[in-house]
Amino acid sequence: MSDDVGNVTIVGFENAVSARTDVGDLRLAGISGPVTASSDVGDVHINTAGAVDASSDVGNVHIELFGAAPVPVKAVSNVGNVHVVLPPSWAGTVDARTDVGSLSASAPGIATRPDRNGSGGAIAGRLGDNSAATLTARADVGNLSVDVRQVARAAD
Amino acid sequence: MNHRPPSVIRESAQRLGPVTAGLYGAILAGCASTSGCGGTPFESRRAEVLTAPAETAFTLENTVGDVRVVADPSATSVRMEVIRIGKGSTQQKAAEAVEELRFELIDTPGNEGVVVKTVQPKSTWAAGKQHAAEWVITAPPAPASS
Repeated sequence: MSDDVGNVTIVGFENAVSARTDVGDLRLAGISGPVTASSDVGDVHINTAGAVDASSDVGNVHIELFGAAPVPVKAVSNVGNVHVVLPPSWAGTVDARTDVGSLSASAPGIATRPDRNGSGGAIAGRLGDNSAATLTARADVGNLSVDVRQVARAAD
Repeated sequence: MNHRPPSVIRESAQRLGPVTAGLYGAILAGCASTSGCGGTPFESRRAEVLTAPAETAFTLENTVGDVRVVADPSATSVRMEVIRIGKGSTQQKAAEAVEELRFELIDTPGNEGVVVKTVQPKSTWAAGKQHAAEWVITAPPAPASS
């Protein structure tokens, strides 16, 4: 699904979903399969059980995983906040970094590591048992947060 | 690859009443007159419904306009409700802009699946026209949407 200018909403699909817009918000909810989503200018909001590759050049990226499987997650924003919510069953390596922005992590096993100059930093660590899954999050300018809690599959 | 003309897949078309923003739109466009200011204060819309077979993949390539795609477990095909939107510096140009929008449906079974593209004239801003298409699509949840 691609759109040059406009908001894109996709709800409820079981297989792979890919969405892109140059200018506009993306909302992908209740997806069971892997998700690829990108916006040049706009927020990206994803609720899925599948692997995620999401980015926005200018905009916030918000990802919620509702499935039990430890899927890989990649979230990038050049200018915008990145917020990832992982289920308690998720296991893997957390590698998140912002050049300028605050850090927030809510689970044992992962920790915030502010830069010495206080402008940015990293969230890093491991969650759960051995797993090859990785959460990679990057923001040039934006706050980073990683939460671990159960979220529901969004119906809309 | 099978290119189908839109008329083949068009189920129904309904012409909506033209929307004239008039002086209010002209003021929003930054000028007191509807002529010669370069804005597109007039708007015309037309709704239609397209359908495509539910295959392994479905792709929409839109240019301007919101898109909403919803899985429907009871759906047996891909149903696309699209509103053509034309804006113009005059009501006539707005109506022309609506007609200038085209939708291409490309069916490539076993490959990319169904691809739907919105096609609009290029460089129409200087001609006092703007185009948009807003979509509401329902499809079975299992086929991939890309």
